[in-house]
Amino acid sequence: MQQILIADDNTDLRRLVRNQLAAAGFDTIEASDGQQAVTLAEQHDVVLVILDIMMPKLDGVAACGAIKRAKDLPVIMLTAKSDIFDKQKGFAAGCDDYLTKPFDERELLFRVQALLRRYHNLLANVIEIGKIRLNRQQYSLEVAGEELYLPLKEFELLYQLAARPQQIFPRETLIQHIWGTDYDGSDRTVDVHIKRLRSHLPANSGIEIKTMRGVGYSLEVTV
Amino acid sequence: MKASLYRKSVLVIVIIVASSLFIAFLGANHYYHQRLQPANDNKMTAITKKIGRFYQQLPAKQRQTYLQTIAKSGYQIAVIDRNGKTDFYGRQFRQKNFPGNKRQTIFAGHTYHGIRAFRKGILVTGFFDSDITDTIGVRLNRRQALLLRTDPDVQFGELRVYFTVLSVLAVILALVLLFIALRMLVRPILRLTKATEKIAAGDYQKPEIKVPSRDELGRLIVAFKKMAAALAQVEASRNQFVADVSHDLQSPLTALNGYAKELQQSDLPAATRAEYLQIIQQETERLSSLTKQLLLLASVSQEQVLTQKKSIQVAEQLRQVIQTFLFQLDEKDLLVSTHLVEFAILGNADLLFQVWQNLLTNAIRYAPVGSTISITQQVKAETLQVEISNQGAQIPPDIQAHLFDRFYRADQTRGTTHSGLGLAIAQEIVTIHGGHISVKSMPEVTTFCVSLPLKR
Repeated sequence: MQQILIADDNTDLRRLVRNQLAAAGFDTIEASDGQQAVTLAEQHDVVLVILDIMMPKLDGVAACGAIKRAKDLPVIMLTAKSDIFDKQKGFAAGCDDYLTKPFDERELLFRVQALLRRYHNLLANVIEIGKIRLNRQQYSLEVAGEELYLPLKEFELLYQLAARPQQIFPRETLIQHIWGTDYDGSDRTVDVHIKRLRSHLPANSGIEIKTMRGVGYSLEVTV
Repeated sequence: MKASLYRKSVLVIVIIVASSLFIAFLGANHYYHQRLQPANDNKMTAITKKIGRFYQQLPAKQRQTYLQTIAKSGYQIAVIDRNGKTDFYGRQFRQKNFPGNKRQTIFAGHTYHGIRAFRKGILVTGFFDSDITDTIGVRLNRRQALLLRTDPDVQFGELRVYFTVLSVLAVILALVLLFIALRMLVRPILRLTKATEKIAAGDYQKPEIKVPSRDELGRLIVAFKKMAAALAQVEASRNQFVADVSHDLQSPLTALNGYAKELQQSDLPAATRAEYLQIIQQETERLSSLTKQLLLLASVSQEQVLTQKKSIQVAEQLRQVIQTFLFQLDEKDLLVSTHLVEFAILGNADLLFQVWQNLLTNAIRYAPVGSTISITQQVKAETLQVEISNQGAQIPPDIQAHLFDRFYRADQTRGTTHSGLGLAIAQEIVTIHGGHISVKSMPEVTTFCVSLPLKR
């Protein structure tokens, strides 16, 4: 099980985050201050760190810097302060994403999963194909001076297909890669997303998503 | 004694008049000594010599009568002999003692130029001094010498009085008129002071001061009235704001209190319990966001002018904002299409970031599921224009008019977690950046446009 480090001086908030992560199948360890967070991050085999910005002994920004220097770990910052004012500092210290309190539990999971996916994909995070450029770091599709931000699932679908053009992906494979192995929805979900993805693809993209009747989908370059 | 502008001005004017008189007198005196005295000396020398020659031609008996007649026509005359014995004609000299060495010079045949040499100090002409040394002296014969000067009392005594009266009257009249004029000048200031004191005491009623003229003071009063009106408006909107804030804080608190009490009852069905808990959670969220926005608004409102300006890449900020909303975008299956240009403007990065955040929050909130939000940038007439549009329902014109008001919410439904401050904050921030924000709503497309002056 993947282990996530939660650092916050507020016990209730830690419990909240712990429960949410546990429900999604993550193992957690907890730190109540910045120093402890740095120590635990170094000693344990964690895959991701969630840091509160206001903590005793060592604040979140400083802890983030220390963790980043010791280990290459993805870090999400939590901030209760009026939004933006800490973000710049957080990003400067190398944090990868942040969440503002109060946050939606689904958003927390969404960001944890997105960050993990992004972080552990050892392949290049940029694919250039046809006339488009897919940037997985910021989930953007660039074409002729425009940048499109697709809904995440659509982006992941496109990225998956674009990684191996011409290859036919069966629906089950796509579901496993994008929705996860424990997804229990129907295969039709893929069709719905492919349909939306096609309508979202610009006319000048230079690529086309072909349906292989009865098999699945593949991406073809048309220029 | 209370310091008074009037009193001070009077003192200043008196000092000015006195010192002008003094300086003018010094100047005139200097001119008299430099120019008039030598001229007078020459004139008198000629007259004295003529009188002297005529005196010699007269028989001895008539000589005294002659000098008496001359004296009456405005001269002071002294006839002095070798031993210093002197006969006087005309008005008496006040200083009658003529020094012996000067007497001898005259008897040696030299003309005595007493008028040219006469000095009585810088403040006095000596013109009216009636001094025997202030004369022209010529030798009449071996025994006698003639000393002569004009008698100004006889020649222009009245003129002297006339000029004295003229100057005194002019000075007095000038002072009186100046005092009156000063009073009139000071009066509006007194009124202005009273009005200011009223405002300082918290009375923002429109001050009733007449504008006396279009001069500097008039402009001051006009400006003052404008300021008073602005203050009254600030006061009114502050009161409104406080009322709005307390209402918006009170209503979620009331709901929290009420539902928490309900939940204390043990016999509630599980479904109702869950519903109440959800309401509590929504209301706390709303309170949380409201306090956050209020703090931000307070800090922005305080910052009337941007103190720390930095170069900001707007395109980069917009990309960052989109990143922060990936989750919300995904929830509603929204596509964001952007056309960004790399242009820098000067401003406060944190505040500007808040503008994009607020606008995108709104765009997402009112966008139909599965629609497209577009963000475009263009440079037009020295401004950078950022347009954020969604495919939401058209905003009716009467609602458009209030969109940027504080606490205005287009959907007045309960359970909304937003504060109604987002656009007010955005507008405030854009304004202090010297830009402006507008909305254009058509069926299918609603666009918020922010234009900011380009970095110069």
